[in-house]
Amino acid sequence: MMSPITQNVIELQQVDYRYPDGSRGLDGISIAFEKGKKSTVLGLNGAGKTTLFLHCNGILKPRSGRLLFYDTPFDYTRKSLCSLRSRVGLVFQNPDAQLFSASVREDVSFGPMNMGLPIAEVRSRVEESLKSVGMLQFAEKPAHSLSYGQKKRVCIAGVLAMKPEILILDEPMAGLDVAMQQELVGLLDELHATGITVVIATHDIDFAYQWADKVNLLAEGRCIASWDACQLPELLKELSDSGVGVPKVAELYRQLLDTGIINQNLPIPRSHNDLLGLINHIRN
Amino acid sequence: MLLEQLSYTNRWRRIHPGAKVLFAVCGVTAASLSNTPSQTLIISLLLTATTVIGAKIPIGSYLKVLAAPMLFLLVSGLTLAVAVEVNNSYPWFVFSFPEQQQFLALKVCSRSLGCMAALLFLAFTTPLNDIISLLRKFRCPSILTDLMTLCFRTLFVFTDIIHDVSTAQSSRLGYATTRNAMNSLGIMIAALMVQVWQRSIMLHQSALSRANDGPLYFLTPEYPWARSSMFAAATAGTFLIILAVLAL
Repeated sequence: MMSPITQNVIELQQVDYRYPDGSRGLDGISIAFEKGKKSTVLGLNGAGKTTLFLHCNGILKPRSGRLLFYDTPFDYTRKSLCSLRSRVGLVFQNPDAQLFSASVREDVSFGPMNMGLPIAEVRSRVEESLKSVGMLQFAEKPAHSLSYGQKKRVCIAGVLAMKPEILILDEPMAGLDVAMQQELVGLLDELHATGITVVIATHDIDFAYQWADKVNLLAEGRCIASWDACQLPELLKELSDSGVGVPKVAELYRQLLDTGIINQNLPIPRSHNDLLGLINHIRN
Repeated sequence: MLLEQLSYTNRWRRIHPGAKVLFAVCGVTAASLSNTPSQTLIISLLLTATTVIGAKIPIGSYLKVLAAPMLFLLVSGLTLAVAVEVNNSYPWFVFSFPEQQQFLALKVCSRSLGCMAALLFLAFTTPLNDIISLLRKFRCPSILTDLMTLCFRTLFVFTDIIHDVSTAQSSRLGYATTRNAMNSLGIMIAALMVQVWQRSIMLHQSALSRANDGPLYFLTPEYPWARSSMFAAATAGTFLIILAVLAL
């Protein structure tokens, strides 16, 4: 039997970045995203989440430190950049900034066309990815006639059409209603099930606790902690100190443990439903 | 916006844009070749009928869009028709409408009307996207088509920003008085400048993130019955040109 060796798709080591105006972007950050895992990047506004993601895609180049792609230092040649960007899919926070072709189908075709794929392949990928985000019936529509949520889905389709190995989403839930958020989580889980590594930046600690395998905490351009999500009930104080808040389910679970209502042998609840199940379990 | 909306919803949306461009070009040629104003007017009417009846564009919307260029046409027509005589004594200015100039004005105006009807046909039936992808097919320099793509897309982004900013300003009495309005407008223009700058960086980054390092390439749409619609457009276009050069 093979031992489970974890491999990092992307790793940043001691990366420093300053914006041209001198403001701090990243401050010696070291962070890694494991292959096949669902990771979240948590942090307050201005913690450097977006800057970090722009590094993962090779758009920004570290002033010092290095980027590793599958454990190999990245060399920033034109060819490597093209390959990196084809394999690392980046979904920006503002869909209006990402959609620049006027029609949906055209926009989704942009990435695969840049990859130099044959037209027939581009066509099939565009249809496939529009279908997977449920936007196929909007393929002919101009981008400006779509709602915010629809634009967001088109952005995701545009990245999916490149068949990335890792999908990075910058605050994908921002501006979406609850139903659409759930739909998006469903879609991301489906993608993850096909073997894509998914990384999400979020403010929402409850979502991170429920969904992720790994939780990375960013503050002032540094990664101050990387935890397994199931550890969070033990780390409530650290979370609270960092300002991102504590997951309500974990907090309640902790209280139930401390008051002796439930014992530690039961599975750790990750979602509200898990917790309700747990309470029902001890009641019976 | 009305034009844009109709260009996506009209009956001839799925017709090959090449055919529509061909017909429009024939329309412009016919209008320019025609000798008498009456001939040109007939051609304009035919083009309008094609747009309204063929592509099912509501006549009200058609006239609404036509109104703005008509105003310009009217003004320039009048200036062409009027002759001004300057005197040294009272009456200082004498306005007259010499027959020759009237004819010239009529000729120019009817020709412009014909060309406009042809171009409106294209504008109402063909979304700009289709025209841009057609230009790409004809190997129009990519710098031009890329610019058109970006301008067209950003046009809507900025309309949204302007809408948002002006709503935000109005909600805080930004346009309550003339003085406030001028001030608010200035602030909005300044804000828009910053937005343009930021947006251009974001767009660039998003293009890079999808492995772009040069001209923008997109999938060109496919159209059914391309050949037959080209043939139909060529026939109709030729008919218009024959109508124009035929002495009535």
